[in-house]
Amino acid sequence: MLRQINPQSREILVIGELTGGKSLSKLTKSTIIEAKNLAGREGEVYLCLLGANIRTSEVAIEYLGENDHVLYLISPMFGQYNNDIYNNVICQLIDQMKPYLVMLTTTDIARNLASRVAARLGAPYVAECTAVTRLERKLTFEKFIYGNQLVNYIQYALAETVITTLNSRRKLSPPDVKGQPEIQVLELEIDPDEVVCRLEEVIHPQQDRLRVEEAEIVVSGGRGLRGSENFRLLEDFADLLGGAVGASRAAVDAGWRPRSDQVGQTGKTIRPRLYIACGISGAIQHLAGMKESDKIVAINKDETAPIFKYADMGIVGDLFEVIPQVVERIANNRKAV
Amino acid sequence: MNILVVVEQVLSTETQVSFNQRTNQVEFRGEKYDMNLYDEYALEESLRIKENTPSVKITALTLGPQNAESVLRECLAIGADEVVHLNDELFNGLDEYATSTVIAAYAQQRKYDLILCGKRRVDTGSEYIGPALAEALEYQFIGSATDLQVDQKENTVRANQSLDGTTYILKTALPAVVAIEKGLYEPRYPTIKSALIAKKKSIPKIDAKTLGFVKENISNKSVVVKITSPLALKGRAVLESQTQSASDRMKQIMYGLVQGRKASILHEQPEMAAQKLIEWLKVNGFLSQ
Repeated sequence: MLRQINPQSREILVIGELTGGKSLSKLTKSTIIEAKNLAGREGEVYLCLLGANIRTSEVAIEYLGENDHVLYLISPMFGQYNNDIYNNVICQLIDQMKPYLVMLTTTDIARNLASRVAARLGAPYVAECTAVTRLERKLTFEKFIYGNQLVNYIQYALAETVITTLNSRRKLSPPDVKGQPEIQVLELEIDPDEVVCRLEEVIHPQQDRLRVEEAEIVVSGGRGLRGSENFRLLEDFADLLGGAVGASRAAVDAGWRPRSDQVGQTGKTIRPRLYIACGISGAIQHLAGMKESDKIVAINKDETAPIFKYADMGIVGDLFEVIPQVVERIANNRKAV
Repeated sequence: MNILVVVEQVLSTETQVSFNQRTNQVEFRGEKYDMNLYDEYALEESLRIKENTPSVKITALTLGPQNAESVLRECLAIGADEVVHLNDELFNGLDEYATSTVIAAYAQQRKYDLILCGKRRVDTGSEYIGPALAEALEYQFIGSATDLQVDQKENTVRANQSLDGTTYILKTALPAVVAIEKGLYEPRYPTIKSALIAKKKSIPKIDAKTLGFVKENISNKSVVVKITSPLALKGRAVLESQTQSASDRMKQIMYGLVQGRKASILHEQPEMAAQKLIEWLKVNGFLSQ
């Protein structure tokens, strides 16, 4: 099913997410910045946000200007994520708009949605690219593969809409925008019969913590943490730094942390400003998920742990002795101020 | 009940990969191919359904070159009832879009009740096969699922879908395609005996012509125009020393010393280490002074 687009098409559709109902998530912001970079001065970026109750007047929209558009799609059916409904709506939107590129972020939901949208449309799908460039009639996607050990550049001719999920590598400067984007709010009537896959129950996470892919600082724990209760220490440390808590596969498979916290080849690839690896040996699969961090700190009892070869700062020691000292000192300094 | 499990042979996650800028070649160290990790869980889920449901037949399928056979033998050894190898020169180097078209053509006539696959490939991160098969066959689709339960009377499948920390418990009518996420369990291993038996079995192959594919109607939509290494993107000069032996060079690459990070490794008492870490955090702008 070829969805022909106008090769002169200048429109990019970004499907974004809100954090706390009012601000664009970090991943959404970096996706918009990449889209604006691609669109250049004449292109148009459409940001689409879906929700059941969005206080659209309170949402802080950044990086979009007078050439761009924000499209709020509102429906009570968007209260919980549902792949069938979201898929139907987004596919219809793409059919109408015919953008040359659709960009989503790399949250689990975004990837679940993107792959299905692409399949429904018969559109090419580049899963987790790290950058997109356009030269005349060709789109080139940069993509890391083999546990982020190799980089491929995959090219498509601008003949049909391409879908991609972006995990931005380049720290592009925010675009210089003039004016405000056009805002449209559409309340949709969605037939409940469109839900083919019935949601029986939703189990929300126990804590509403900052997610690893959203954080600039991540304190991560591995097998060395020895149990789920010990992660409380990392949570305290992360809180003082304003960061999130991540986990290695060992910690997740042991049931100590949720899978959504996992960093690594079978978890998430993240590029925070700071990654602190505690009790993590640094297996190649884990490194795949975090070695692109700006700065890496490693704390491990074993001085031969491979993680130290990738660290900017390493501490050979017992994390259960070092980290409480760190937490105490930082907390005391703050009290003293 | 007929279950199809789609498995893929992928580059092992243990394999070290680098890109030699001088020769423009991709280099492998410890080159090995394994069953895609998520596919192991897909197979395991099918076997758990079989344990709990009467008369289930499990077919494992792969599309791949000759040596992809080993993955199918592994499936047999672990407990699949039969295997199928979609194998043809025309199938080599196909992207996921084209691959799913071929698998759909195979599955079209055979009316599987449930099709399982891994949620994505560990080597390329591609996650197209599940949804694409569902589209092509007009089956329901659940992505990123674990803990499947089939109800034959109702003709439904129930699954836990885990996305961004939230668990959605879903139920849909069969036939369905379910893409499997890693569960909190170890997939079962083959026994030595079952592995030896599987080794002797002949693996049925299906070629392109049988499925109606010729050169003209099968192709990739994309082309890889360039390959490079992540280090090159960071502008980090790869150390080149005239005096280094090839094995030393290899060791360096292996040990990531070419990463360009200047590590200060502390062997201090916890109090001193903590103090120095805090200093480092301040100096690097992660803590206010």
